[in-house]
Amino acid sequence: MLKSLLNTSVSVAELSRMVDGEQRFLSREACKAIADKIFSFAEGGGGTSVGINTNWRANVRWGRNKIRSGGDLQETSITVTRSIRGAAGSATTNKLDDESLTDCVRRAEALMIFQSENPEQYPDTPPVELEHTHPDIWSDKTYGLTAEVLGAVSDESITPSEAKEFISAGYVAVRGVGHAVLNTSGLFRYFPYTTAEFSMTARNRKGTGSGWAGVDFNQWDRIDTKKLTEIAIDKCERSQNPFRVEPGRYTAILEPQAVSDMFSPILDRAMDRVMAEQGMGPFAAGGGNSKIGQQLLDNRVTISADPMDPDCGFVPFDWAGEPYKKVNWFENGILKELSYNRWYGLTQINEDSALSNSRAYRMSGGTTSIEEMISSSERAIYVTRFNGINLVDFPSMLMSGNTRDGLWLIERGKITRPIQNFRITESPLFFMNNIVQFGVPQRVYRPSAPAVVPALKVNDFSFTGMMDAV
Amino acid sequence: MLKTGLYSAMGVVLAGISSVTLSAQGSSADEYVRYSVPGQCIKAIQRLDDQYWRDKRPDTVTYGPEKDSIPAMALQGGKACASRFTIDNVPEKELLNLAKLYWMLGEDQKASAVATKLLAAPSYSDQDAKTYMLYNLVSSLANMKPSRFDLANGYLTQIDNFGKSAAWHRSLGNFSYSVAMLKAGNVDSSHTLAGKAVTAMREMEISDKIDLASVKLTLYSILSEVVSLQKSAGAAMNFIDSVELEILKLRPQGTRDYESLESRVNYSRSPYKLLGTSAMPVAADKWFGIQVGDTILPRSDVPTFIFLFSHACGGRCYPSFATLNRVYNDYSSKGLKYVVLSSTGGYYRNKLVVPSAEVDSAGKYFTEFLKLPSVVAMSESEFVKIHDGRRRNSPSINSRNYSRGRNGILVGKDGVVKLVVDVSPDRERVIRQALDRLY
Repeated sequence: MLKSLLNTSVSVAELSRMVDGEQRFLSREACKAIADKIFSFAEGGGGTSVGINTNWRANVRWGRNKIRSGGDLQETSITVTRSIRGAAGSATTNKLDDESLTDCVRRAEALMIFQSENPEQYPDTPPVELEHTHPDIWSDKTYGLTAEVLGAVSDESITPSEAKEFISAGYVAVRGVGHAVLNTSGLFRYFPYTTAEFSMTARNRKGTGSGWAGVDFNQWDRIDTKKLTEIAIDKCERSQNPFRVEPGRYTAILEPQAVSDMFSPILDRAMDRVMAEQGMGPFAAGGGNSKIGQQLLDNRVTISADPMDPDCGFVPFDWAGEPYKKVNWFENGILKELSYNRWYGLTQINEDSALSNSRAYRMSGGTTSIEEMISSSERAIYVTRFNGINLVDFPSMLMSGNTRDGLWLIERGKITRPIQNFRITESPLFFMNNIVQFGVPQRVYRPSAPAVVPALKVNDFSFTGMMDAV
Repeated sequence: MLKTGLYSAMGVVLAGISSVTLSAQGSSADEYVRYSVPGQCIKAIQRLDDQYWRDKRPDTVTYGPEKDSIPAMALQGGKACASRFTIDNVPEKELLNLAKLYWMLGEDQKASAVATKLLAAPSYSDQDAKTYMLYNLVSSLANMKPSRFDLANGYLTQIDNFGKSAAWHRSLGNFSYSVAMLKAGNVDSSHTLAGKAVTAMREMEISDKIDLASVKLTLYSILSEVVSLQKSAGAAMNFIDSVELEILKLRPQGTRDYESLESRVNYSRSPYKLLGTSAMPVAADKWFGIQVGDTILPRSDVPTFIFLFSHACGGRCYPSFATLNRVYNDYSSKGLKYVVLSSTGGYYRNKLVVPSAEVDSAGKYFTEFLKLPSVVAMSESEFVKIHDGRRRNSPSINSRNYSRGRNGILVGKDGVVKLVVDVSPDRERVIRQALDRLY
């Protein structure tokens, strides 16, 4: 199937059949044919760029132990950007007929009128000849799954929950996606990939216990739904009837998902170099400088991203067509890089390159098992994950949120009791400097961008208040 | 298997939206049918103004507001848009926009009636609200294309009549009017108005003075520019020195706020250090657009106008080029030499280039592409890479001699710096006045 997506020869007249036929999203040649039509519809000179996200997804959602919805969806979204002498306008459509595509181009051109021209601004797109990597993120097996199969998977998670008289809810989905970027300068990139995700929550009927488990991968067969189901049910069982413990600063054992929930906002929001040099965010050093070169995390922590990472691969170029590079954002705790575009690279560091941020990341870890973390703790709190994380203060990355789906007190090397959830007020830049032990990095649930993260045992994590969440 | 109709439904919605958008752009009988308030008509005029100049070179059309005007086609569109509004069918919060719209269209009588109704409205019976609205009227009229100083003056007088209790808006009103007057080349009036703004500021409560410290510093910068034009560089420096303590005492010494203000005071002083001094010789690694004798600059037989430009400035510098070209057209016959000073940054357009290639490309850009009537002195920058990889240029000889926070330095034929100014349509009149004094 991958080969056919990349090589299928398709006439423009066949496009609509392709969307509804065997091939559930647009192939490379189909994207090219659409872009060529769009280019021909442009009026008034200048340049045109086209971004196409074409995807199929099958999903099943269940709640209260019953499948509530299922979907088998095909969607193609096309963004057209028209630019003349530095003034640019963009419009989006999801209809592929000539009239709709023409209309989309006209809307982009109409918006362009409102922009100021800069007669000497040149296109800021990567050179056409610049190659991107080819990560292995396609799975025929994943693409072959249907909503019916996913429904059966859901049943396999619901049945053991019912057997325990728990209420379960969950979401399971697979997608096939084509990501295309084309422009009138000759840039043409297309990359197909698949994704699969599973997440499940089990609760007891009294609403006093809850357990969760989930993960996403590019390949369905890397998700062990049976094991995840067992984890969610086990946590639900063990978290029932929690005790109340005073809030305060505790040693905390954070599962990989909890670490990701707290650390991912840094990748999502703070890694822009221009922003930092302009004095905004946690990596601003003032005086027009960033904190690149400064030790900001524990010196055992390296944060990297590589589209070719076999456990954390991703689409190898961004929406401008800029290839993602292998990068160490942090190396041994030192901030080594922040992202920048091609214009910044050219003018500020005299390199004809960009460093785009995919938001995917791998956090280095260690070999300590969670059991060892527990057994070596005199008094600590074990956290499954966080919920409702909000940024309170951008410069310090102070966040607020709450624990959920399983929180336990550890005393004298053993988990002794489930405890009531806490509100937390904490910064990852604080707890990432108070690390005691590192677990083995593993893939977590983060469908928006992949992450591989270890469990951590950290000192002085700030649990600031009681919370009646489950 | 479920098939959703959501996306096809979204397509219908999108198609609907786009057809509305297109009809607003097209030539239907009433293309302003969706414009529900006068503020939107003002935006429409601005859009049509931009559209009119879209395919015309911006370097021929950028003027300061006092002599700029709105193209007839934009005014025509504005009139069509305004026809749906009257003084009676516009909500109170839109009356200011309606008055501005009428003034833009030249319908002064209607505009004055709207302004009168606005100032009499219950929302503006409170003195602070009324003086705020008067300040809005002054600022709008002084910065209109073209400026309407006659009308602005009337409303400014009304603010002034409130005395000390309206110090805040008196200060802002006189400041705004002073800046507009300077743009119009009326240096004496600008000085008088700025003086009134300063007086009003001195009458404010300390907390208001702190809130307005930044505005006040800008005001003093402009006032010192006016003093330098009226009197001398020394007078401007003395003026800055006299106000320095007044501004700095607003903040405790040693705080970041204090340091920030102090650095801005020093920056304000910087251009005037150059005024009245003997201009240093211009250096270059390579010259462009030269004739015999052009590499010995500044010239001793005619005034020399020195400009500092980066080849990467692009569209942002086009208004400067417009002023530069217009001034040259009027003064070249009397003898005037132009020289552009520029240096390398490691790239040209969107390509990395070696210094010699950048020098050639930039030199040709100024002389052949922009066709500036100027000699170009290009310097290769020495640079270092700092710890995070960024390039830091060492200042060239020309930068050390001439870079003082302004991009234009006018040197008389006696070799003495006469004017340090931002070359822009806003200062075109001032530049012309300085040149007139040299001939």
